Amino acid sequence: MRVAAANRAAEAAAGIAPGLPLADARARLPDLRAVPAAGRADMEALAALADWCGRWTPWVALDTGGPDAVLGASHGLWLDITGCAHLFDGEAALLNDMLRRLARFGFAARAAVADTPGAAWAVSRHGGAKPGSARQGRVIAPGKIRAALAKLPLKGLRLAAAEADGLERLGFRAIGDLYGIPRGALARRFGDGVMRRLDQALGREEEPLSPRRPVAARRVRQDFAEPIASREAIAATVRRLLAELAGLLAAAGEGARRLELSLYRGDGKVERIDIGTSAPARAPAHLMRLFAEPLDALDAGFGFDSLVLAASLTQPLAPAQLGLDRQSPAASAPQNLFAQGDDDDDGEVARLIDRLGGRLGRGNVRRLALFPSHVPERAAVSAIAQALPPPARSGHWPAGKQRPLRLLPRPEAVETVAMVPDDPPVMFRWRRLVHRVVKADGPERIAAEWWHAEGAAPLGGKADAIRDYYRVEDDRGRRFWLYRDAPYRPGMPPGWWLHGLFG
Amino acid sequence: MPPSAVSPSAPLQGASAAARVVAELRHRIHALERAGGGGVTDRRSELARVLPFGVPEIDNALPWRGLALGALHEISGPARDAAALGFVSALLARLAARAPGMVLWCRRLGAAYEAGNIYAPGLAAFGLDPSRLILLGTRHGRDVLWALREGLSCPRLLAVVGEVEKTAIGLTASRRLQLAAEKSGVSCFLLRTTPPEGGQVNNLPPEGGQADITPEPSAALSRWHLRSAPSGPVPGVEAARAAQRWLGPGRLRWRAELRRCRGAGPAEWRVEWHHETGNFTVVAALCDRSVEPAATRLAL
Repeated sequence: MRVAAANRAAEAAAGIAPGLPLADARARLPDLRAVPAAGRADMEALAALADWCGRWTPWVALDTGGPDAVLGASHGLWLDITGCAHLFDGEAALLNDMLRRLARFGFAARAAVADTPGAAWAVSRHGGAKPGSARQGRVIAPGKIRAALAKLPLKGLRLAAAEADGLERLGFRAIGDLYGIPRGALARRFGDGVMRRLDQALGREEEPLSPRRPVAARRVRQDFAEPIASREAIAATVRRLLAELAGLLAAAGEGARRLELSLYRGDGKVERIDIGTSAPARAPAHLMRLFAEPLDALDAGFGFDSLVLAASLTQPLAPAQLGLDRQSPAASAPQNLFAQGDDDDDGEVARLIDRLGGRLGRGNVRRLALFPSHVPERAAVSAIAQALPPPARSGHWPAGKQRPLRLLPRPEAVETVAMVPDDPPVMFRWRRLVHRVVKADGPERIAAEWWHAEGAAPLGGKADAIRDYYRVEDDRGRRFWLYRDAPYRPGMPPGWWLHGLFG
Repeated sequence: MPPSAVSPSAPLQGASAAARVVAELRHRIHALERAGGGGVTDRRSELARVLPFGVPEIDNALPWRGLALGALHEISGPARDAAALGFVSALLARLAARAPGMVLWCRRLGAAYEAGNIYAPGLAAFGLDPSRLILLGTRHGRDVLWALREGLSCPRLLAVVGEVEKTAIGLTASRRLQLAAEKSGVSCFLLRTTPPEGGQVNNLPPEGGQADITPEPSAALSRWHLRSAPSGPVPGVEAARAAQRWLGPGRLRWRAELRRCRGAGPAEWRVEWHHETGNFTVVAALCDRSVEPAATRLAL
């Protein structure tokens, strides 16, 4: 068993560091308190922390160490604060703010700001901050990384264990020792791993960070000196942010299809609200209505001290919006009775769909369309109304093909009395009630489509399933759509099913 | 009574002028009755506010010579009888043929599972393009009412349909719907379910006990009760009977009962729906004679 992580006191008192066998650690410090490492929980906590760091920059990446990193030893977070620092009065202030807030949660953190991720990594972990010293954050001024790294130990280069050992045997102690070595000599001995790490740290080679969450191009934020918790205050802020975002979107000629509101709580939790729209939109009043419902369900806890609103999906939005009912066939009717000539009305149906979907669930607002199939279950499709593009006018239903107005979700078995097996029934019992059939029309034979694989086919999964449909009318004039399993096999009573009701 | 019925019996010029005044006054009273005192939105013409059935018998019995639009109508029908649904689909088809706009259709998801879902090809056969429907499924019955009100606040919609089943709505909620419909000019149809009729159950009372329940109070402008009626004759009846073959169901027929309507008395018609032309006709009561081919076959 090895030490996965040690706190600062253990490090200061006995030099206990990650990787040390537990027995050695106990020998050095008899009253050491050891707890089994919980790797998965640690990772989850780190991921939550990464999300919380979204308050400073959207570009947060997890650093899980190399493949042979000791468990938990080198875990950390990368924050790309390019272009963000000025929002917090500079890099040093940002770093202090970060460390102060983390300390408040009880995290011991080390942080550094540098030109490259590699340099920041080295400085934060080995950057001279003596264990136990109060100064845990260092800002390396732009262009000063070469000097800053020169005195740091080789461990700061994120080298694999074999490479680090090899260099150590050759007498290299500090990163600066490598500066003057010809590249070829090092590469011959250690491959290009060492050189690459050095280049990355010094900024001679790009090292891209991939953010944990997608970074939205258009985002606005609002910080508070005192956390806000009341529904009204949050709503007012969201309204202000929406107006600001609308300005950004309008300038870019875009509308939002999806918006993400992140609310950073003082205790390190992040609440997120996602809303979607059926058409690109940027009108603050409309978007605010979509936020109204989820804001009610928000758990404010002790209050939010930062709100970030991002348009995570945008689409071009011309000044004139296309309405859904532009596609409707009656738009060319001689009299446009309900058109009100107002440009804004075009999106009204789209906004209604958004409102309904926002409260009742996006998937519950659907649009119907006909699908060219003979199989009853497949002849109608319903698409989520918010999905674009809205279905065009569906084709004409062929005349003479009578179909019920109501279709049962799945056919229901009925008991029947038929005079001849191959005839429609004279009576059937459906859901306990007996219906006497006086008129019947059929059969209309419908077979499963042959191109479906066995098991995946409609009509009960059998590729050779055939149904004989009858329209029957009972003595009160009620009309039903019944079918019999076909073909008829002598000796087997045919199964009868009720599938729909005619108007 | 319509003015056209008055003027022929009045030979004098003065009397016809008086009839015109009376007709004008009637019209204004109806307008006041509907709009609850508030002015009727002037940008909608009379044409846009009334949906005629196209059948003089029905249209003349209704105070607006048709079904008033921008109002709440309740259409009930027994369970396991899709007549009420058919009637609403027919009305919507007629409405959609005249004006653009989408129809918002709200129902409880559970109800769609129990009683069956509306079926796009069936609607298309009625002449209603299914792509003009926004279909909304809710988890609770009360959300249907919320969605209806939300839909009625959007004047771009053509109509709003709510399958409310047996949910009690109450006078206040229905009044709210009626007011919202008046304000936006969007028509609202409530589809109600009453216990099923007829049929014999083995040793069990009919579902729901009584054949009908007393209807709860409602602010709906008209309340209809629809039941299926034996369908119309199909060509070749005699031949089929002679060959002792089955008769096919003919055109859809319903017994449409106007149970309550502001400004009109209760009435009942037997209507037939011609889906090819999108027209209603009223069938003479004499036609209501059940054909007995099945009985004939049983006796064979």
